Amino acid sequence: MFKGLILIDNDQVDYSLDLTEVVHRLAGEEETFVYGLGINLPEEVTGLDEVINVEMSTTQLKDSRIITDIIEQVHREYQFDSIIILATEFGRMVAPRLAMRLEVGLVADITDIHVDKRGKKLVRPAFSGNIMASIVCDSSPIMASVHPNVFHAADLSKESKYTRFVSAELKASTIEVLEIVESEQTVADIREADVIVSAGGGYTQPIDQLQDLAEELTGVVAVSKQLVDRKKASREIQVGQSGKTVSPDLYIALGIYGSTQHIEGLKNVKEIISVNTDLGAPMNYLASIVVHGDAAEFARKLSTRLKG
Amino acid sequence: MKIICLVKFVPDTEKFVYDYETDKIDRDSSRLILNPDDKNALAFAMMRKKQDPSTYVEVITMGPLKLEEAMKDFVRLGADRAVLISDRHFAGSDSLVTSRIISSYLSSQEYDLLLTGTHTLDGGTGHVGPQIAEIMGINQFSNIVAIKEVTKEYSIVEALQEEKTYRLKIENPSVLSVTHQMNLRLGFVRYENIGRNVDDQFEVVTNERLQLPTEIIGGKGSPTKVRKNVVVKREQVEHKVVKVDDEGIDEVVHFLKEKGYL
Repeated sequence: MFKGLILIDNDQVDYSLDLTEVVHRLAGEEETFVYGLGINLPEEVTGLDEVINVEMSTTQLKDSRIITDIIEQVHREYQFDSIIILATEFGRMVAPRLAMRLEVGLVADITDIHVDKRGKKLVRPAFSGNIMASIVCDSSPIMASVHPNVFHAADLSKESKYTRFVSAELKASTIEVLEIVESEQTVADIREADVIVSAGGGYTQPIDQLQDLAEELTGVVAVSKQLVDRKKASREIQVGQSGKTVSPDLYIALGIYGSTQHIEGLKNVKEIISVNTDLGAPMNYLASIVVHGDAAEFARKLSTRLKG
Repeated sequence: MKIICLVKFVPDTEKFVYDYETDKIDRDSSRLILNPDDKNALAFAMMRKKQDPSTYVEVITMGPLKLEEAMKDFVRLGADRAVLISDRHFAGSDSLVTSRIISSYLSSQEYDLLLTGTHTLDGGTGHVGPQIAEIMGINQFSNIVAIKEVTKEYSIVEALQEEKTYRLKIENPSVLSVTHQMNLRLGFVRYENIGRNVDDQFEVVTNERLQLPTEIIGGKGSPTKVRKNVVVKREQVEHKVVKVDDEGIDEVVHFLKEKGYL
């Protein structure tokens, strides 16, 4: 029996439950048992074999050391074969800390899994070009972090069994949350969009100007990492390995070169239109239509045509 | 107070030379630069030292010996000490082992604050900051966009997580992982300091000093092992190439209609 634990993120319960797929894939031919660890879980969840629920003081929820203490305690009791954590900003603080606590390897941002007689290989895009690295962990439990929207659970209809876990006494947190300010602008979640108009380094106009075109196509505006690095747009709408993984039907890439890290952020996209002055841009290889020319000019002309 | 900055040098992704023939990046012509998030960490420490000269700033990196001059330049910029952790036995270390090596050095040091970056330009894992904090048994927080106050006892920071800004009071010593949204500049080495001899403020730390058993470091000691690197050959999709003219726009509009987007 392959026992996998997924950590449920209370703000992203659906994406967390998708991680059950990771456990099933990792198990290979073995029978699986998927546990979900909920900490002050706000809702009933289905699709897991067992939900382990822990109640704790809400003031400590943002302390990765305390959360690590809890997962460690749960793991000592259950002895999981694998622990999978959603790569949210907080998840990225917890996962490495937990890996160090358990003294095991951690593979970040996996995009694929191959299991055969020779082992369980976790695939992640590696730096230095168009390279996918197959990584094996010779430590147990196997730990990985996974971006939201990369894997999808096939079936989440199963009723989950609920177990309450009472943690041993926890150290008091020494991180005090003084204030939480919600960001003023709430933009549509690019992960949910069917059409995305996306701008990259080759798009030279202000991003706001793309709003009209996106609306004509009932879509949303996104950007590549370059524009976030240049502070032209917020990380919230960034596509790619360090941003979000999106799965629209239509992706219009405006001046996007198409680095591996960007393309890893595109999953199950049906059609791509790539606009670029560089005919050799890797993005073009994936496109149904390549528009050779200036991205801003194209966006303006297309928008005018659609309105007319 | 003493601040230690943990920095990483990464290949400059904007200046990559991409070889279309081999689908690879030409590493020789790609140079190493200071990771932007880490640069902000160091810039904050330097700014703090300017405001309060009693602040002691040490910079640490782990990497090849060719980083010596780049590290010495941090001293010429005003840091009190620069340390390059480098040994051929460290090569191939994954994030867990890298964290152990750096922590092994840190455990011989005193400090009030460890400053580092959250993300790396090269799409690295971002594991080392949290893992060092775990080994040292201290707090850590990522995505810090502003450090409002620092004392020996605590820091008050603003961290951005999932579209919310958290104002936090964190007990020190701690690891604060900042982002380039701090928007700080490091400046340049002043003319009179260019090439200044700073040997007494620079040290290469090897394994002779740290004395870590070779079986727990490097590729051998790393629990994650790269089995295979596969060059991604993208299948070229059959496509039309059009221009940004009336004809091209017609073609795109036709396509959008045909596929049901309009």
